[in-house]
Amino acid sequence: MLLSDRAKDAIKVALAMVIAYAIALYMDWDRPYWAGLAVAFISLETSGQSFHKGLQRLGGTLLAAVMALTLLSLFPQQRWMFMIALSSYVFFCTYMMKSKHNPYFWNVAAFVTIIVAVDAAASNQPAFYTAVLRIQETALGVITYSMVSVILWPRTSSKSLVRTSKNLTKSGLALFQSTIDREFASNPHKYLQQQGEFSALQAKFADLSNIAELESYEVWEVSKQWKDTGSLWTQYERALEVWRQSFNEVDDLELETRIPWLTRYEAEITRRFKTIIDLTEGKDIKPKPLFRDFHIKEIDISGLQYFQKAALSLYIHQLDEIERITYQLHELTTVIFSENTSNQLDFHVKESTQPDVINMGQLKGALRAFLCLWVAYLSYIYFPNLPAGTVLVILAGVYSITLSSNPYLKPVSILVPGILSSAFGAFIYLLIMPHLHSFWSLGTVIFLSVFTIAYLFHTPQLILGRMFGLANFVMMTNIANHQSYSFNFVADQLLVFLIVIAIYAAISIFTFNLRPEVQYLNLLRRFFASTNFLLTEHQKEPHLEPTKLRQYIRRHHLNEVESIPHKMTGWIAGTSSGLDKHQLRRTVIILEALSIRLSVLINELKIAQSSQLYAALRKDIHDWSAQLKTDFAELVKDPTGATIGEVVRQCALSMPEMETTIAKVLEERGKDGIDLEERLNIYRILGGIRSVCRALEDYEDQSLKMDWPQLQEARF
Amino acid sequence: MNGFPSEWAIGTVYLPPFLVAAALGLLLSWLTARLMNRYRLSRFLLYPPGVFVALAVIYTVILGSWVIPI
Repeated sequence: MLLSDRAKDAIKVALAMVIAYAIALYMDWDRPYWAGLAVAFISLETSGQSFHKGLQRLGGTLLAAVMALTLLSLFPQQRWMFMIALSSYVFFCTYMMKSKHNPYFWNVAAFVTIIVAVDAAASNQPAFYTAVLRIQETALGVITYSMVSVILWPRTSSKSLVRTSKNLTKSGLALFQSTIDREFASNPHKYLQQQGEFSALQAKFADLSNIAELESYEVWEVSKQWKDTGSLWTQYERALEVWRQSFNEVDDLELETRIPWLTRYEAEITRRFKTIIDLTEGKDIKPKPLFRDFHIKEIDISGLQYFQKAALSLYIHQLDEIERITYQLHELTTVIFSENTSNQLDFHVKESTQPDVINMGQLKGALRAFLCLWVAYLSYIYFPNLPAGTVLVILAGVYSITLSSNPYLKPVSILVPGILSSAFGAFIYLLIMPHLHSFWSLGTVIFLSVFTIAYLFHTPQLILGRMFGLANFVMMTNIANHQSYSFNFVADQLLVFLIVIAIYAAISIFTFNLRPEVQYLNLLRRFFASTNFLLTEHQKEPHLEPTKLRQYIRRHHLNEVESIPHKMTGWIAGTSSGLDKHQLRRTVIILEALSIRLSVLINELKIAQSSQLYAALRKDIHDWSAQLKTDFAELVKDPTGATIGEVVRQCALSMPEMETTIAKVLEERGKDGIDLEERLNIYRILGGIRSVCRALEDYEDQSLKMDWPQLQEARF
Repeated sequence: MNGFPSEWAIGTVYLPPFLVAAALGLLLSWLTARLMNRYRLSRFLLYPPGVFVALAVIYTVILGSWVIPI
């Protein structure tokens, strides 16, 4: 029987749901729909991914049960203190959803605490009973789905990991070739699409490399190498982008003649990628030794001016970086797929960890969840006639916590899937279920309904429809051993949903104003504020060791500069139709370039602090960065770019001065008196300053094409 | 229309007139906001979210006074 993956996945979810309901009803447990919900939310592509998510759900539920019982026992008769403690805990957990590896754990730990604590207040059953019931039914759902996905058409993460690794390498190679062919200049849309595909594959690879070790001994054995590979791909993406940014500066330098080994270099990198692809495909090949002798001393710099040497130095530095990364990738792949052992590796990969900084987006999301919970709680206390009482508080918590990490989603866009899925659940509950008399018929209805939802909403783009569909089917049908039917129940559920969305929308609009145009401009200001801070930091006395707090703030701003352009892209789609989205995207691309060039420059400046050549240039560089800082401060107030003409002119004036200073110092001390690495560092700083100025020039040009009045005008 | 508040019946489901008036008020203010955005009239407003709430209240009061007595 030939079934598509889509049908197989849908069958697995539907079957697991029927089995979970069957066991919960057979055991006569209250609220069997909790087991159904667990199945609905943990079902993912591979059994490893589902099991991983299931473990997070179970762990979160355990923590939530303990927290709910603690809060209830601490404040049994003090409703305000109870709510202050509960909402603060929810705020903390929602903020912790920023974590890269276990956001779902914190999500569950937050909303299940609300469910157990608030439900216990309104229920006849003791809180301990509710907590234990929730844990056992969640465990039932997790175990049931995991068993079904392991037995029926198993899809392991390790196979998926190897497949993703192969696709990622192919995508990395394609991106490398497009970069060499200057695809960005000729067809930027295609290049950006390729870059997006590479990033998506890289995220999937990082996710799978963490999960596959749970279900496969082969992956577990070399899990460090898999994780190192993930870190290297992250480094590769950045190195390639920095390399591409340096092209404009070296295009007129006849690179083929100046760098004699350039053609061989390109062929060698391509060969490495092809070998990696062959190894991941399981081909029995004996990898040839790698060629690594690309000497910087063979480069011809005769007749070049200082700024050209600077540009060339930046270019070569990135070639060197890409060579190192591909070498390490090649060696790690050899360890993973062939007989080499990790002892043969002569390098150590630095782990690319997420910087430990304040995540402003998640902080705002946590505050939204906190406020939503309070508004729902106050409504519940002061408007006792509102439908479904405690369910309002629970659902306000669940929705605001879950939506906290996705600010791009408009509250109105949740309405349609929410209402349609409620109507579907209500149809089954009111018109079909009263005619059923045995579990066989009920099981068939559950199977067909869940199969239909899972089959129709299969792709990741339709995840919202799938989640709402399954959750509202389970909630609306309210299946229990002592089944009752009431139209009021359906009407109440729907009304509560509408009230919760109204609360969420009101909080979103009146507190943080999540209108895309406002967010785009806010992020633009934040970007310039952070660049301003980094330049201020660089001007400080180098001999003073920064305090821990200062280092933390610096890391935060560095992270802001690197991540804001990406966040801005997310808001562009929602902006009003009158705005030219193409121009908004172009501005983001320029900011990305500025971000990369600035962080490269700041890094080089940090290395140069003790250099004697730098000491000679310090005054010139400080004057330049002081001017730049003033202009960035102006851009924070007015990001239209009207004020940056001065810095661009200043840059044009100060570049020759800097070159003269360098020439003087080199003449005084003689060429051999200064270390090659030191000279290259200074060239890279010069190149960095020049490329930052170019990016600012681009921003100035681009800002003339932007419709600032429309972007800034007040709208509903 | 006799001017006295009375429940709205949809089949055998009875809805309070205030709920109906408030829902219609919200719908009308949403439509007004859309139109003002469309013709770029909202740029003359100081705080559009506040205007949206005010419009919803005004529409509900107007509907509740003359169209659907509440």
